[in-house]
Amino acid sequence: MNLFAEWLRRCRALFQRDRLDQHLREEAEAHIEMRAAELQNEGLSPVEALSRSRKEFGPLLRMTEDSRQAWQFQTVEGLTEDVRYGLRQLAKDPGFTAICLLSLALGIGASTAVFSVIWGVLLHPYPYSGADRMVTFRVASGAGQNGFSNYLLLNEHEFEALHQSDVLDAVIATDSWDMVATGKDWAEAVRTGKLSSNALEYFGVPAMFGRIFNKSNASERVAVLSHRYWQSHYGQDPGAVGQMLQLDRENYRIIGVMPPQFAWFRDDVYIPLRSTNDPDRTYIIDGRLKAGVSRKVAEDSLQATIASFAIASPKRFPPDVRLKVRGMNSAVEEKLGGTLKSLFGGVLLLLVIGCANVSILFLVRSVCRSGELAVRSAIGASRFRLVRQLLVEALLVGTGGCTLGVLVANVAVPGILRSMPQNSFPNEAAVEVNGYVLLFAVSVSFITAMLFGLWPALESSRIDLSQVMQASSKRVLGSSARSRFNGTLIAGQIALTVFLLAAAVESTRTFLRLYRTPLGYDPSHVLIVSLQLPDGTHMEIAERQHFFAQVRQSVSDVPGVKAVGLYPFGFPPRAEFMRKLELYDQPSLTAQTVFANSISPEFFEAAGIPLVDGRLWSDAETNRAGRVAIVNRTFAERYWNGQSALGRRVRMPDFKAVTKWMLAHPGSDDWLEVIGVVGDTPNHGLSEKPRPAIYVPYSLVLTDSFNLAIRTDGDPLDYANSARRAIQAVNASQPVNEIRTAEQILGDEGWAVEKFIATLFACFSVVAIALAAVGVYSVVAFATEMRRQELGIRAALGAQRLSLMLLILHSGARAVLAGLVGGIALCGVANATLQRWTQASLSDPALIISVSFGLLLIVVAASCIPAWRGACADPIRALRENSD
Amino acid sequence: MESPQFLPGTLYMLILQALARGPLHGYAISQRIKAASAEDLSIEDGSLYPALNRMLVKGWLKAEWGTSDTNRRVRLYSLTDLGRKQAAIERQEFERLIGAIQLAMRTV
Repeated sequence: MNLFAEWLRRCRALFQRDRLDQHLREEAEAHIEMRAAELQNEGLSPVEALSRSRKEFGPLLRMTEDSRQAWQFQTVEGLTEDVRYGLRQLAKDPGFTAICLLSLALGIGASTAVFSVIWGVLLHPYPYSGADRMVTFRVASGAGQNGFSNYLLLNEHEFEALHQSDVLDAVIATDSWDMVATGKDWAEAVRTGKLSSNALEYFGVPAMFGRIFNKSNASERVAVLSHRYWQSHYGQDPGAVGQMLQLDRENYRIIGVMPPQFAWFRDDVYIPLRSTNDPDRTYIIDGRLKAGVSRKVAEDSLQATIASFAIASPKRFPPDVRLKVRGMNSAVEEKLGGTLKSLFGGVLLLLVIGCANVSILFLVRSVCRSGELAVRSAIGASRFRLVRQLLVEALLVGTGGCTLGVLVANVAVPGILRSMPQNSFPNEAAVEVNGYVLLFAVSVSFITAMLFGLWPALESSRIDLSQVMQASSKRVLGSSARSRFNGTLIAGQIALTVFLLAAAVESTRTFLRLYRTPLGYDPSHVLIVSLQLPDGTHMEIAERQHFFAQVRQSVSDVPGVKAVGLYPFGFPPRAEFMRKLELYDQPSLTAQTVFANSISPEFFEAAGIPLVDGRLWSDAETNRAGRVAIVNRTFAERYWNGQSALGRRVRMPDFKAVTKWMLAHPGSDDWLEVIGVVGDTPNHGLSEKPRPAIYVPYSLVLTDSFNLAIRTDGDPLDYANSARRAIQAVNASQPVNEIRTAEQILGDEGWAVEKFIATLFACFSVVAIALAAVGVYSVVAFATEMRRQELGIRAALGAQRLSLMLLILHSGARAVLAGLVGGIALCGVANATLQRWTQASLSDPALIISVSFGLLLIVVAASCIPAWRGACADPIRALRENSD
Repeated sequence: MESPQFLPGTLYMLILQALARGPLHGYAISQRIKAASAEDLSIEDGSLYPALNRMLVKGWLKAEWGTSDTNRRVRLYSLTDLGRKQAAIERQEFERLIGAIQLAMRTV
């Protein structure tokens, strides 16, 4: 209570400062006069009395100052003063301030931007409740299969059984399927998530409008729209709730719209999964572990359950099934985690380099301000007071850097997102400069301000007054300790820059190596159109085959189309369908696997894959599902080393219909005769050698989705609409899923991550070079300034300008060389980490040496400018200035 | 600030004591302290005012302008209720301190 009243009184005094001063003045006068009158009475002369009275009263100034202080919020007002003074100091030296702010803004901006990506993509990608305990299940074969795993697919009955598990908190079944929006003018594919009735409650995300479905209303035909679909198809009209949506000729009542971050499987519409009791209809299973249950424990606990399902229906599970429990974001973490971590490391280095710059500048400036500091110290400022003043200035620069940095981040985040590989982060991820990111930026700025401000502040507040009085202040304060510190900072900066530069060059080389990999196919001018058959259509094999052939023919009739090939999935550089392989003439070879592609023979022409040996199969062979096969060169070389592959027989024992939606000709798993050999294409990413691949007629096994590879004349995307029309001319209700080009696929699958790393590291290293150059420039300029008198004497005694310049450069040479050596050492040390996170390696000595040499040139250039200027200074003036 | 010959905090106590018998202006307070202590506790006159201001902030004193005996415009300080309470506390504390010191001097 007392404290509050006191606080109020202080507040009031804030607004009555002038009156307080006036009171004090008047009081002091009265006091002195009264005392003087008394002294006069004691017999002193009026003049004497007055002077004695004044002397007794003591210094008037201190009395006013102390009294004023009684009323102040001590620290706050002191700080406001410091801030005001600091701002004035910064404004007085705009060049200095600008360089400091720029150094910090770049460092803070870059690290904030990368942090916001890490936050959105790795740390907090999902809006779901308990997302860190949510897992996906994968199954793999215990034997071989090269670590290949698939989603765990369970039928309804098995899904129900999983609810009993004591390691799972909840489990949901989902299925994403294209349905056709009917009742409109044209057929449009609607990506529909069929979710078990508990799923929307499981996610714990409330609807933005309307409500979600749950156990109570899941038996009705209801639908919940995704935010994206609601935007694009309902123009953000909240009235969408309650309307009807016709899917596959059935009406669904829209009961809700989800918020934007709910993007499960990027579906358009969510409907309840309808019970079918069909044991062949399977769903993707997801679950949330009970708190405290590790993935390993869950894996061990559920393995037996899954194994028992596999025994009951072996057809649907790989042999010797192994369950894998993985975090929801595991795939993203594996693909991008290392990349983002190394980028974050890179930006932190950048930040350190920027801070070193600011630190150097602060130190240099504190020397130039030594006169001011000495005066303040002489009139009684404590060291704490001086340090506080300097730290406040550092914080001001930090605050400015933070503000600018956040602006930089705001610009950089969309840029980073654009250059990030497509589909490489969770659909739900919202990468933005949000509150957490701001908090990061602010704390980073604060910490860096303390880092770069503290040492210079401590150093320059250590003032030996007598020395300042006696000697030229500059000479004293430009002492060796300080130049050693500057040297260390410069060396550190250069070391980090060497490292960043080496990483940038190396990641660019990695990218270019991938980019220039001989492909074995020609991705230019190829359009890829993906189709999925509406659920339950074309279920008769001959009819489905005929439909595929019709679609292919219709598209190849489009003018300008050169060739159209059918394939079910997996376009280079990645194949997706791996099957077991047996060879007729080498029965001893077991546990072999091969990438299987069931295609139409025009696929080779469309993709630009050359036929090396033998022939392609004919239309007649396609129509009767002939038992023929074409292998790639790697296949032929691995199994029939040097001898002709033609006429050999191979078999894929599990190449048959494994789900209801695949239709197989009887005997698709029979022996097939090799009739041709084609060139290799990458089928497991660009960085790995092609693996054995086999191509068979698509009519052997027909899936319910297929792709058209269309080789065109000119820009393939110009053909998107005509291809769509040609497909719907065959069947108006066949929707088109996705249209891309082979080049886009190559980019996304082949080198997008490497390009991303290379681009960002290149940006970082350019900034790092600029910062290091500025740092070196300031230090050399400072050293030149300190030695002006000496240089003047030397010049007056006849030293050549060139030798003077060399003299100046020489003083900085040790720091620069130490930095280069440190950088090379750092490359060696950090190599292992970098290799673990990315494909880049810093072990090439030529790379390191050329990078160091390049940086050396830049640094020398940066120091030559001030050194030359120093060497050219008029000696007379330099000498005269100092004798003042 | 308090001059070195004071025990810390005594200046407050002396001022409170001086004002216990009624409002005084600054000069009178310093006179009263000097006189009462037989000139032993002389303070630098100027240092009285910061102390008075600190006490105003704490709410022990209030100040208003008035006229002196010699018809001069002066600022008169007087005790508030809080100040009177504080005076009692300070006196007690001081006596306890002195008592403790005397005890120590006798026994050690």
